[in-house]
Amino acid sequence: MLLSLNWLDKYVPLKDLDPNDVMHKLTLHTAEIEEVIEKGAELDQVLVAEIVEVNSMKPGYHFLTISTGNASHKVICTDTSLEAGDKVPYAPLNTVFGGKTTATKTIDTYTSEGFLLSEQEMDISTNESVVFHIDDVRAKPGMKITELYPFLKDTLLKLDNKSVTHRPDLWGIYGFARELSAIYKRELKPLDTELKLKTMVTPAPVITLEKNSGCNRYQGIIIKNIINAAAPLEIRTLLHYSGYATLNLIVDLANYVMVETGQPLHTFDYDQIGNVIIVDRAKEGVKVKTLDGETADVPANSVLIQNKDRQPIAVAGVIGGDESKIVSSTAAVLLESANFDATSIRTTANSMKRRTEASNRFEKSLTPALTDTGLKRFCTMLGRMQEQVEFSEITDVDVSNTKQPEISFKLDFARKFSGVELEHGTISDILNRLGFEHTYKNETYNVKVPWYRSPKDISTPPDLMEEIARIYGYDNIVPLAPAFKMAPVLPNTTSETEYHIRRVMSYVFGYVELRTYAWHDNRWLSQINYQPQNTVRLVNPRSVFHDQMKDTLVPALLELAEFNLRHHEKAGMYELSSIFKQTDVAVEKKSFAGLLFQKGGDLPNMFFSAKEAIGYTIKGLKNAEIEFRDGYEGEPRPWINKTSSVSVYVQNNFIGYISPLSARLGKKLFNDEPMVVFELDVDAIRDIQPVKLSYLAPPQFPSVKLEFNIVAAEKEKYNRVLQVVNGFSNPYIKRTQFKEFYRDEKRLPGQTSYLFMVEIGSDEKTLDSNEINQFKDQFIEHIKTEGLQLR
Amino acid sequence: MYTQEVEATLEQYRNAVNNARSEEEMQGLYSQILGKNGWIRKLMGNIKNFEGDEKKEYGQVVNTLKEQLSALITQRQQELVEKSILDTEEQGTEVDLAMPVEFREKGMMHPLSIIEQSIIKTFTGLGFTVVTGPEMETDYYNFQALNIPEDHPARDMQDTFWLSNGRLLRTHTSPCQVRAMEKLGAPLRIIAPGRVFRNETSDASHENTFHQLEGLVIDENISIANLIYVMKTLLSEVFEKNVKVRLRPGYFPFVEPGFELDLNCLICDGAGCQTCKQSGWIELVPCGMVHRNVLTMGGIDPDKYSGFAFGLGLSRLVMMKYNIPDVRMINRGDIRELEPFKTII
Repeated sequence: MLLSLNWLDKYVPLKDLDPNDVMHKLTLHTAEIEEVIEKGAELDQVLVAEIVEVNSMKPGYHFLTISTGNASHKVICTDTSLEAGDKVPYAPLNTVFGGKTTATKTIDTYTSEGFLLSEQEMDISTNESVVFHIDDVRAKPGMKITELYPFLKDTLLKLDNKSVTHRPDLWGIYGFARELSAIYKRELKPLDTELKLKTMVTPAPVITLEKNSGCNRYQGIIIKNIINAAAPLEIRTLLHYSGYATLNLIVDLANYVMVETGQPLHTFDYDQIGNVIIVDRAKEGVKVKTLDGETADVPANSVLIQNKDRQPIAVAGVIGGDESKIVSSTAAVLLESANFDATSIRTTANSMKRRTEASNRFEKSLTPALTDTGLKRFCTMLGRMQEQVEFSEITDVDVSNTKQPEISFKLDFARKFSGVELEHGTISDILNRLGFEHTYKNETYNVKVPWYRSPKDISTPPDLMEEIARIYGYDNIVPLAPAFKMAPVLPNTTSETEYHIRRVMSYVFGYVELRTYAWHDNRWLSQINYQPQNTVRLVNPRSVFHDQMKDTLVPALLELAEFNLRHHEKAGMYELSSIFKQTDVAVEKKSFAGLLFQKGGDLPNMFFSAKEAIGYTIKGLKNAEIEFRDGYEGEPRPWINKTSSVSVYVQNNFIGYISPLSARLGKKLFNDEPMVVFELDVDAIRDIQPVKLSYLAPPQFPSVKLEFNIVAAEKEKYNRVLQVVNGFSNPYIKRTQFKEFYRDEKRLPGQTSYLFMVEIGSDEKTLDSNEINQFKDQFIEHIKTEGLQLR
Repeated sequence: MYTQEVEATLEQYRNAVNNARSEEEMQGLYSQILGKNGWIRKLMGNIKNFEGDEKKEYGQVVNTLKEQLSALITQRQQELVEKSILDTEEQGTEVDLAMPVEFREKGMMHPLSIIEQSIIKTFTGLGFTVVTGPEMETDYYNFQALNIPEDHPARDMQDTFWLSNGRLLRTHTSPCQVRAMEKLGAPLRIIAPGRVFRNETSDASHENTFHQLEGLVIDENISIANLIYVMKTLLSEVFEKNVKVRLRPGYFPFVEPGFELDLNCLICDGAGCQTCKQSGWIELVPCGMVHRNVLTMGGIDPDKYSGFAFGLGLSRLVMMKYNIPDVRMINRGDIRELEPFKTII
């Protein structure tokens, strides 16, 4: 909303104040003003000129001699309706106007020394593009136009509408005048609504509100004998500066009263609708041709204004119908000043995609008392402008049943809540300034909420505290440390697990943490042949390609690998984020996924490096042993290499997998460059049982480290060999450790040799050579029995 | 006893010791003089040529010689060790130690994680507990429990992504407020960092996916003055300097009164610049006193307890702190843009 200072000044004197100070004070005490906009400053250069002589130049062009009092000028003009004696606005040569400097302009042999301006060019309305006729007896040639019409110069305060969502009383200029009067302690002038109406028109409107019509109050009046010419220049200028188009007196005046009071009005052409109004809910399938010429479907249950034949004539609170709209020839109207159910209006406006100035106000829950102000303000202004206008009686159907709340609170509450030792005098003064009548007895306030303040905004003591504190000034509240009782900070294992993973992966293993969006890109999914099952869908995605929530973080990482490979030879990347799934219930889990790429890298090395990173990360968190089992048996993932992946287990629970990128995707997207992918369940990592650290005494007697080269067929794999080694039980074994593997196609065709270190010893004695040899024999015997060989 | 020959030899050895240049040379001299087959042993061997008092006297003379030479050698040895240390230091190493080394390949946490972690540290230091909540939230926690019933105009302020299962992507971290109240009860001091979503067109300063950090304090007699104090303390920690803040009215249905907390512009110190749009202030933290209805929804007695809540824009903070001009960098995943954060641990 744009707040005109000229307009505000009609009700609370502001002319002596710096507009920036007004902006600042409103921002600190009431609502955010984003900007101060000056209007009409350039018009100081525009002079009133009188046309002295009109000469025809060529078709469509006149060459005029004009007078600015003590000088005369020649101007070329395309408005051929001008005649000698007309007074017009004139922008002399070398004045800066609309960002341009006026210069001489020559057509044929005629030279123009400046320009005559239209309202549009002066930016005081959107009306017409013909030269503005100054039809005012006070106009003298040579006079500044701003001297004649001071209201052309204005200052606008740009309000952040969001900051008054809860303040229906601030959806009009007068509401801000009330605020400024309280802030600056200046007297508030009343709105002129006092016209004695000449009630000569009969009949008065006949208004019926059906049961649960969604209308709380409907006031109507019939007005006849209106001359619907252009509205006065000041009204048009104020509306234009405030961001409204201007049309004709009736429409402009209805808008003017809405902007001023906050009460939306609607005017029906009386000759089209007659005097009967029926308000009811719309049934299915109602269509209305709206006043902008379009035919709109009205959502069922919308509040509908109907004529005596129950034909829709307006979608209440949103937009009027085409048939009854006001045109320049309209002379009689039925004026509606009503109050509609906020939720209904909001729902209708949203589903019709017609957010209008009226619906914006109605959906804030305007007070039903405001209809009277709106109606009377319109009639008063119109009646003062045109004496011949005739009115009917006002018909008022009020089913609103609103009662302004009375709130009581103790002085002590105000002090505790604000943290300031407020004095009674201060509180009382602020309440008075804001129009809150109150009594004070036994340190208790009893406060009446004024009629114009919404009970939705003010109904409890904290609501009143806001009123008191904001006018007192938040800046005047001295910061005060809270007195907390000591209490332990509870751990958050999820957040701690995530932080641990990030720290180790990034700072120990050199991975880069990435963050991406929460949804898949379906185009990329089809590139990588991934068809996720049971994803959570977005009803209103940013685009049709982004309608599935991620059920795995890997695809986006693959896409980023493709991008980052253009700039990097190698990199490890990971993401820690939520994934989503829709089975019988909606599931959200934390996932940790990553990948490692290196152009021309050695795949086994890369794989083992990823394994080390993951193993170290998990072990470092809970001190639990990690087990890597061959293969992957989870849901199908096109990026997993079917033969070479490993599954990560801790305490017999599946935690995730590590896999080289599948050959198919490697070939298709990454030019066969080696890549390792992993995906782990953060919730499962978090839930690993921690293994306690515990003291272990150093051996009393020296131990012996024995090494065995165990040879197995390649198909046997490491885990089988490990199983065999671990399967040998002997009280002397302190620990076993895999050292390295060895392959040689000539000496060990089709086989792999695994070097294991077995450390043996006793807590009671030093083992002698017999005992050691005996152990060796038994161990070798065991290996052979299990079908493996020693080298 | 002191034959001329002994005198001459003694003199010769003294010179040799004093002129020795290295520890090796000294070792040789030691063997020659005091060793198993050295001069002193030889002299001592001659004792058999004496008898009675002469024998005793001879022995004493040789012992004195031995002590003198031994002391001389020890002293000279120490001198040489000292000299060799000085020489080594003087000479320096063979390599130019100023040559650069290559650090082991380092990675980086996302700048957002860095900031998030540092704020968590600040808050846990002040006695706050970290809580987390789901990103796929229910209408109840995201809106209704926060005093935003259906068709409340405030819902328009938060363009919501709706999900086919009837849930939504949380539009703020505020749902964690009621979740924490239900779980932990009062008194309460929590923060809830997290990712939030708004269905809006993104540009350099708007994103449909961004990060917030919710804060909530509930206790007896919590006041507006307490809120200002905690916010000022927190922001001073975050920006590592004593910041100025101001409160002004703001509207959020789950607080009453609601405030916008502005930070005195750190670029111009409040004088007015491009960053603060000439106002001297930057809108940073929406906050307010927890609404009675929200306390009630969370099962907390609003007549006994009061509290305040705030929402810190983490993405915004990251941009401010690291001079990131475009919010979309955060979710872009371009390693080149993340590289500057390598050095921060």
